Amino acid sequence: MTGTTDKLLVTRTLEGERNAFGELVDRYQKVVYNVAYRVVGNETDAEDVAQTVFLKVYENLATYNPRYQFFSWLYRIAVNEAVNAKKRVRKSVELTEDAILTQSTPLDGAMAVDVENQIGAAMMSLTPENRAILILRHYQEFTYRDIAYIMDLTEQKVKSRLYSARQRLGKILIQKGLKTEL
Amino acid sequence: MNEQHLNLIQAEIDGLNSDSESAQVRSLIEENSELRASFDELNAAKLAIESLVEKEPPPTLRASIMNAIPERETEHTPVAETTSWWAGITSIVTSPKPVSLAYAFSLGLIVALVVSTVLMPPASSTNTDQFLGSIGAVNLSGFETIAEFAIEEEDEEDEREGSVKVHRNASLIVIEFTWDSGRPVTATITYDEEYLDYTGYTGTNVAEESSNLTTTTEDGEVTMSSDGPFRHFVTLTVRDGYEGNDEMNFGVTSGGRSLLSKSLFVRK
Repeated sequence: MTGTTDKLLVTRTLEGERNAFGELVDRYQKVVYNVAYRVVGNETDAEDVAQTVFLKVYENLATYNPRYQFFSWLYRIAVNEAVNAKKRVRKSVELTEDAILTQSTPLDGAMAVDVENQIGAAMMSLTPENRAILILRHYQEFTYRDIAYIMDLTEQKVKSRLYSARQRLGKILIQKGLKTEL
Repeated sequence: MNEQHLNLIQAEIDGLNSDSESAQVRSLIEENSELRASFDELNAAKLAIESLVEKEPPPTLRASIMNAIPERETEHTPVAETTSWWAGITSIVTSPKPVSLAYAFSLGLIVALVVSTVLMPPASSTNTDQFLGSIGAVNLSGFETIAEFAIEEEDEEDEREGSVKVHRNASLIVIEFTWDSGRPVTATITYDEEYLDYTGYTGTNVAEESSNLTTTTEDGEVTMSSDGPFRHFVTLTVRDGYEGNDEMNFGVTSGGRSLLSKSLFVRK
């Protein structure tokens, strides 16, 4: 993080400084892209989502409430966009839990990429919302409270969804034999 | 397995338990296979996600974003409620009310600044020498014009035109005044010396018949007076260590009469 705060960059962007917005993009394109990728499940859609997110941020910057952290607001837009994009492009039937278990090969612990792919495939059996909530909690390490703001849920709802998402994902991973490798 | 047990396990996965609660979880999962299975599932999910490798975005992503965003008109930020100084100026200048002759000579140049724009923390210093001395030496290359407005007004006796432009390059602020009228005018900028440092000015009369262009500075105030057309540059620098989030007052006077005085919220 540089000395220039996000809020100052927002101010400068609103005053017409494109470079200030470019700095915000530099800071957050990676996390936005990764959230999008983990929710939509492929690079092409993730790139589209990330671009759309930043355009929406730019267009709606005047509505940003500085009482909140900028990145929380950004995540809120990113998660919404990714979840909605996934719902829109649900062109292929999402894999069911059974399909994942039968399609995947047994785990080869030496193949990290394969593990990554299997985890990714298992995650795709969850709803986009539950994928997002898991990513926010364990990948981005947001608190329940942050997640509640980002996903517009109560903290209690966050806890219950987190529980069910973890349980479902964990069950698949263990059945695939991933548990011993983790 | 009850709700309390599940809450304990969930909190353990999230690292939110106290030592005694963690010990309680360990005891529970040792004694209860159902709880053990539940714990293992939740933990497997957590570890799996934490093991995911961060992906690099496409190298073209930034460029595609920046190419897609439109040019933005200058806006006020949502950080604080302020009265638009521009709107204030516009409303005065374009007022349909007849301009009283008694004030006709005093109404000339209205100056205000968007303080929040001016008070950006400095990224670097810029040599101010280039602005001092001959008007012909002024070089604004590398500067961004962050505010610009024209003043046009006429009454039965005269047309008055002027403009104020505010330019910025890092910590250096240059306020450019032009006034094209035979009417006397006095423009005053006041600023908080805690945040801004006056560094100099250069100016010239731009008509031979003009005279008495004077510039005075004292205690956070720059005053320019002329009885004819002039072009003037005032430079201010943002002081190091400025932290912002304070209120500042920018006052504007002309002909000894206060035309505009605003308290503006200053953002960091």
